[in-house]
Amino acid sequence: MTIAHETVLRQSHEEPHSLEYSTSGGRLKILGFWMFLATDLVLFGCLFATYLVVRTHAATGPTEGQLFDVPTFTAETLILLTSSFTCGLGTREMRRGSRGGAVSLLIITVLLGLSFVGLEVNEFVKYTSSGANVQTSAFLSAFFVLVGTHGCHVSMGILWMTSILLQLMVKGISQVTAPKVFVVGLYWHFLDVVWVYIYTVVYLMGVIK
Amino acid sequence: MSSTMDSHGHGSPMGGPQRGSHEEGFPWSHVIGYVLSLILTFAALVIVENTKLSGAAMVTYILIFAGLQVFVQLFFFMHFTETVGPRIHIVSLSLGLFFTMCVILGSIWIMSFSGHQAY
Repeated sequence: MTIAHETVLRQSHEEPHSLEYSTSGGRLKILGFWMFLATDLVLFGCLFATYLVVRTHAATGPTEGQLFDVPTFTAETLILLTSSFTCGLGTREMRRGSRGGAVSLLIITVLLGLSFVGLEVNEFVKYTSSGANVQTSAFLSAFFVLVGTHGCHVSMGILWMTSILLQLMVKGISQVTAPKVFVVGLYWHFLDVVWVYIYTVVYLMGVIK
Repeated sequence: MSSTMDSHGHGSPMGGPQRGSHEEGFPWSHVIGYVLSLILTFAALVIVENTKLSGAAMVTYILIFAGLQVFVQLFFFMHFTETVGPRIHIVSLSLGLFFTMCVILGSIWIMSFSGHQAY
């Protein structure tokens, strides 16, 4: 293949892509972030494996069925699903070049994330005040570590997204800020994927009689 | 770097295989993805709360629904197939998923030898 042909291919291939792919730095950040997500997936995989192995080991503490409250975890799930949707729309607005749209959708996402964390903290406080602590049983240790690690990720995501949000408000959509908005969106959707498995494996499987 | 892996994109000026039409007008793909994820969430809840299936059948169904939800997130929200150049991110994520499944399924399998409980 000639160099000229290669150049034409490159341009025509890159042309339809948006701003976040327009610099090699931006492309590398997005690729690197996918690799981080792969390793984070392994981290959650280990926590899920631990939970699955010890989930029936309730010792003298409450079992899953006695602990989990269907309306609470359903509300948490719906809030996180909705925040994933608004975050996706935020990325779309950023690609359309609408700073106001992107900023307002990311603000909604952060608020939904805060209400999710609020509900989860409330749930944990309810459990611990009823005597179901992280030391009570192997099941509760694994539960608090798995769900807590996810909650910690969401809390970090809120701080991160807020900082990207401020940067977007000050600097606008550029080759520098576009990859950041895209990557924080990837992170948020990934957390939603992990939550779907917490909802299924921890909560729903826990309330099966 | 070879950008020729994905050769069906070139030729037409609007030849992007994944982008172009999605960013204009009403965000249909996002709304469809959101509605699908809501349906899958409630379907799993209904199966657990309102049906008389056996425990194993319930677990099978809700795990299938969770798997579908992952595809909704990846393809409707995360622009999973989108890339410039080789699709290394798909390889790395697949590898991560492979390790994850090895750890989870391997742990359950090896712990089942104790015979004290059903997983």
